[in-house]
Amino acid sequence: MLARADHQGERDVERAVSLGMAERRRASRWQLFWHSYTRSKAAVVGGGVLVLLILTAIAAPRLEPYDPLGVSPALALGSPVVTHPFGTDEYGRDVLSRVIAGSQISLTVGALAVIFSVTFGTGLGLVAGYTENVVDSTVMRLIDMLLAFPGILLALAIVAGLGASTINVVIAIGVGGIPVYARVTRGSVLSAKREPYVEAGRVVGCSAPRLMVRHILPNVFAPVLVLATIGVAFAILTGAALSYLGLGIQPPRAEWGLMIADGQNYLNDAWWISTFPGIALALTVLSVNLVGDGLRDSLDPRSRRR
Amino acid sequence: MGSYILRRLLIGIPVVWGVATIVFFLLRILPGDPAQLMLQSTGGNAAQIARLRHNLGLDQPILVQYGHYLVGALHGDLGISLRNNIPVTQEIRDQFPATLELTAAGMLIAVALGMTLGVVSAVWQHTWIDSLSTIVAMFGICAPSFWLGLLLIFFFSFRLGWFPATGTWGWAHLILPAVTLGTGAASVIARLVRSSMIETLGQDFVVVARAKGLSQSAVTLRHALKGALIPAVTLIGLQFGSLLGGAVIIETVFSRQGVGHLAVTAILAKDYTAVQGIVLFVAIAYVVVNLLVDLLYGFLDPRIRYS
Repeated sequence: MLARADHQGERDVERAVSLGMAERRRASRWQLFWHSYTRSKAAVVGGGVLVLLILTAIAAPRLEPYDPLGVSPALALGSPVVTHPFGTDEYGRDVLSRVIAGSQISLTVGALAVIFSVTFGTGLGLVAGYTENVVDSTVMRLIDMLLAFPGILLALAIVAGLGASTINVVIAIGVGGIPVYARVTRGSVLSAKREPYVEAGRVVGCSAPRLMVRHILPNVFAPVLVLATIGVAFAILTGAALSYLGLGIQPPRAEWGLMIADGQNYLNDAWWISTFPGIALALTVLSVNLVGDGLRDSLDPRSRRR
Repeated sequence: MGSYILRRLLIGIPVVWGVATIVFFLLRILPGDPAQLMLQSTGGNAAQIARLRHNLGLDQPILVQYGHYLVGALHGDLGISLRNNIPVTQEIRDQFPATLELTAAGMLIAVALGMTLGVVSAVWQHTWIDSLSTIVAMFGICAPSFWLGLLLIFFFSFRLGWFPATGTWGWAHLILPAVTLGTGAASVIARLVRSSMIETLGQDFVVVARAKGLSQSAVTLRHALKGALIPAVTLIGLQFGSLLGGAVIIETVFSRQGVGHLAVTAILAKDYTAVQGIVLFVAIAYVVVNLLVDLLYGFLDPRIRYS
């Protein structure tokens, strides 16, 4: 009995050591990623700016010095001064407050559209890549046809049918993004499903949905994540473009594309109405692109120095 | 080469059919009655809506509508525009030359600017020239095209008075819109040409060329650039298709005539037939351009057409 207890004790120690080593391996993967990501100054700066923008969007109601919808005709077309650092628009509304409020809408539209695209695109790609039969062929032909539409045209057509509103803009942009994620996921799944761990899962009786979602998907998600980050930038730009054309967010809400459109009529006399929302938009897109580039370089093993 | 062209054409036909089908069903499966939407602003009654539905053929079974639509599209009949009662095909024919002119000019600027930036960045890699080129390229990618257009109007039209802010015909009316349209594509091309050139400049044949005593310009332009061109040509071709879509916004910024401006007007007026016809036309043009790019790529790189 004593000998059995000793053996049990040895096994317990071995198990504790192997768990500790696993913990250290898990920790070092994140550390490795962080170390790789922070090697790029551009990615760090981009990440910092993006975090700042997200915090601004979250705290927008507290940060706005004035009501973004508050009209003051007496202050119309006022140039930038200390009390109104970004000037006022044609209705006397404070441009700085509207730029801050617009960050909420732009980031929300961008994030929701990408979530929509990733959810449906990854799902389609997962099923198509795993089944590799008539389902795969049908899905891929449909994807090819969707890819035949130039970027903004499909979004325009969908908005034409659904009508202009925030949720319809999200759907319009989201549908356009589905083909890219479907293709990338399918490509990754086609090689992942031939890995030994998938075969082992089948042998022990895992169902196909469980295999796809619990085992294959986490291993093919890295390229999707990189694309999604860059996709947010594209979604923000497209949402702003639709609003600029009068087919997205409707007035009097503060949206950057809408503000740029409103300022166009006063460009010669009040350049600030269009300029500051444009700078905010460009800065947001730049920071998202830098973060996306940083993620791509960190998650690509060929670019990581060991 | 002949069999390669035939294969690509045969693949293109079902894609065009698929595009036409998606356009048809897209505007029909979405919620809302098109006839009701079109008469919303004028407050049409039930009888007027029913008459409009009959005129549009919306009271027929969906497959019958689809059949009429396909047959009409094959004969170049895209229906009648409800805003001004003229054939949609005629509207597109009147507006397309302006869009084509803008897209071609934008492409020219994109290639010239993009190739120059890319080559300069690659040759002077890791210097201030490279950093400046990268910043310019990033600005081109990140700045919204409609905002960039307004900036150019502000400086070059209102402040300097060099170019007109609006209008369609004449080279003076083309410069600012073409620069706006081409800048985004130039930035994408510059990044690809830069990485492609860097890879080519590191190859053995470039080392040999330098060892033979050739000047830097001869090595770069006569030898290295050719190797970097193939991926750049593919990207340039694909960018041409994207520029077609970008023209939609630029025509609105500069109040230019064109298919893009027509599309936006039709959507805002809920001219259902015109929207359908314009979207179909632009999508097919995009497919044709991509097909031509595939053929050009096969012509440039024999490995593609024999694979």
